[in-house]
Amino acid sequence: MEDKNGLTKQLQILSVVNKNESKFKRALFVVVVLITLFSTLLSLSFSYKAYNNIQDIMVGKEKQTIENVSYETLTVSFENGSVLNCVNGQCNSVVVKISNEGEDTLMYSIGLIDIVGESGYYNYSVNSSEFNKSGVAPSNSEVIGAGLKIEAGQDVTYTIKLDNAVENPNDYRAKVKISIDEDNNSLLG
Amino acid sequence: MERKLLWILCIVSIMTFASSLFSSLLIYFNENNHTRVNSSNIINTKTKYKKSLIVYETGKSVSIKDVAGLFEKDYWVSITNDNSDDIIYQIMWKNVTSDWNTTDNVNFVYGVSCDNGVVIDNNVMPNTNEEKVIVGAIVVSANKSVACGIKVRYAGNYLEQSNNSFSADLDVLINS
Repeated sequence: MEDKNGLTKQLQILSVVNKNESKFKRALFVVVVLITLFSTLLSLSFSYKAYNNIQDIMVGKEKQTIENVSYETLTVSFENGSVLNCVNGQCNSVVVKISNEGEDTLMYSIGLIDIVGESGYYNYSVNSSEFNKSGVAPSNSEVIGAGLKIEAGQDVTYTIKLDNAVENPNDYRAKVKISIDEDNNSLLG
Repeated sequence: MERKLLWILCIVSIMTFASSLFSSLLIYFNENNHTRVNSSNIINTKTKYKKSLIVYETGKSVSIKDVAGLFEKDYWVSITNDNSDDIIYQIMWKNVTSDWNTTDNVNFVYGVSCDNGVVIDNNVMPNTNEEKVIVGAIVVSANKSVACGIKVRYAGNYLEQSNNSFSADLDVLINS
């Protein structure tokens, strides 16, 4: 009878232990599931943020560029027109005032274009306080002053004239053109 | 056996959590860094140079004296836009000095004709010390030039020799 009671008690203890272990397992399972679920949600959430970030970079939001605009204006004023004309050995001169109304140094060129006449009859000369040059008047468009520099806010006046190189020269005509130099390439046509 | 499996599952789950936390933190700080750079510091400052060549073929100064008969005179301006964008320019009368009387001045007019199609007819010349817009908007396409002729004339029937004088500067400005 005592053995029977002892066995019953032992069975009861075993049953309690089993029940506790089963509760522990269930709790552990729930914790594991919760942690996994939380981890997944966390990963998904930040992956979404990372995706958006990549999208921003792709469409250029990442590169915030502030663009300043600097207006560079070269003003050219011909006092008595821009055409050099020689008739019967009598030539006019061209006086041109060049002003840099921008905020930065500019490079420019002086050229002769739209030429009617032959080379050899006249010599040209270009004179200013900073630049002097002379040569044979060309028969085709030619740059007679290249890579000239003018500081912001400054102005310079050139006198361009033709002189007879021979007696009784033929008539000659040329137009003076001023161009802004762009990346060392003269825009002179 | 079942318990062992559960422990393994538990360890795997914790490792998943740890790696997810690690990558999340990486993303968070990486993004934070980008945001800080974007908001408080300017990443890139770029200066765009817009070059223009303004040529006053007949001079910048206009001086007209002693107008008589059917007077007319042309002034030429050419504008070169050396940029990759279109630019709008305007031409103005500036530093105006005029002693034309009001009666005669009604017939003292100017017209503008540009080779890009801009045409303005018979606008009255300014006769006060005002600045006056000659052409409000001349659109010059990228890397193109536009030449404008400004014809100043007396539009009345006939003007006896007048002692009136007019002087001003032509001025080409960048509008936008």
